[in-house]
Amino acid sequence: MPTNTRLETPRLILRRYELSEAQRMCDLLADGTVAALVPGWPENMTPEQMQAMIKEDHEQDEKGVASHLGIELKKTGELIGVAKLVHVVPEHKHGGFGYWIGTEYRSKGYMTEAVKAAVKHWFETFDFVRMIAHHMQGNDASGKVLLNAGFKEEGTFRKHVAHRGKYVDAIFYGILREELKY
Amino acid sequence: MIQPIIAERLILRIFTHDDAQRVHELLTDGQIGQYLGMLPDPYLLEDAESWISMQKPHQENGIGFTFAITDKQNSQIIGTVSLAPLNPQHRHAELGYWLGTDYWCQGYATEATQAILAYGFTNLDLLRIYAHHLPQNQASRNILNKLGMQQEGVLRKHINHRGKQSDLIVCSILQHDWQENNYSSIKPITTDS
Repeated sequence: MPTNTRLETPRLILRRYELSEAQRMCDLLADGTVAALVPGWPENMTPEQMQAMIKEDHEQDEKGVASHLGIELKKTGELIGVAKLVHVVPEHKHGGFGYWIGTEYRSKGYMTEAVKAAVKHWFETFDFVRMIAHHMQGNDASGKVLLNAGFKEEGTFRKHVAHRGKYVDAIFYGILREELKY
Repeated sequence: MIQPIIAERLILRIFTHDDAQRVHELLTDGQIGQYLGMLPDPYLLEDAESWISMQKPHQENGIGFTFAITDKQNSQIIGTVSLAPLNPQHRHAELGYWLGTDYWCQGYATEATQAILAYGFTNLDLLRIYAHHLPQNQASRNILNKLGMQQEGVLRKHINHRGKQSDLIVCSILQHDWQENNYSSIKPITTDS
């Protein structure tokens, strides 16, 4: 799978993120709001840990089992978040993905803009018939992104994820290729 | 070593390599493939062998437990029941099962699934057990209902089943509900070493 993907939207560019951006990603995550909303997300990563993660992401992308895209804000050229396809199931032609964005860039429609472009790209590249995503109960902003991008809510998996000593519901969403209206 | 689970008419025990032939025989007979979403089609003896050989590492790592359902009377394998995959961090597992067509409609699936649910919620201390079924598999849904499971959602066109994208229905039961509803009165007897 080529890792030189470059997708352009009105305000954003989606492209591979580099080892040199590890510090920037740490800065974006430093306030802990992503870790608070995404189960299993490591807290307080050092730039070295982040580099190791980026390296792993690149390896997976090169094997064609994932697709990690950095979200760059055109007007500053800076990374503001990530959209990542991490669960590719070729035999059933579906894929699952996740995403995050730095706190100060939220509620501006950037995430929806990025998710739409990424989803469209992944449908084409991986020949999916369906894509899925889920979020932890309470993360309504994340659900809004999916609904804005044309996803439908498909179910609530009760107490599906352990998060900070509690077991919380996970809300699942899906979109079919024919529902892609963009 | 996982000890066998003793139910009323059945004994659930782990598979050995020698069981592959019997698994293949049961799964290639008649209608069973119509109802199992994840079964390779055609199903070969090698599929049964690799399925069995995967089970041991999964058990050792605590990420999946698969049992042969055997008839107490004659020790013959009549099907399988599993808690796999199992996620130890999130303490949930997927319930899966099938019976050879000769053994349908005799309450065996209910008996075997009740026993493994008890095993999952007590011995393994899981918090959530879920199951998937194809929409046309009403028999399976009846079993899930009897277990006290409730529907949580429909994953649209989630799997490719025999060349066609099919919905998958998700049901689950939580440990707390299972205890409250007295399903826990059904206790498996494990032959402790």
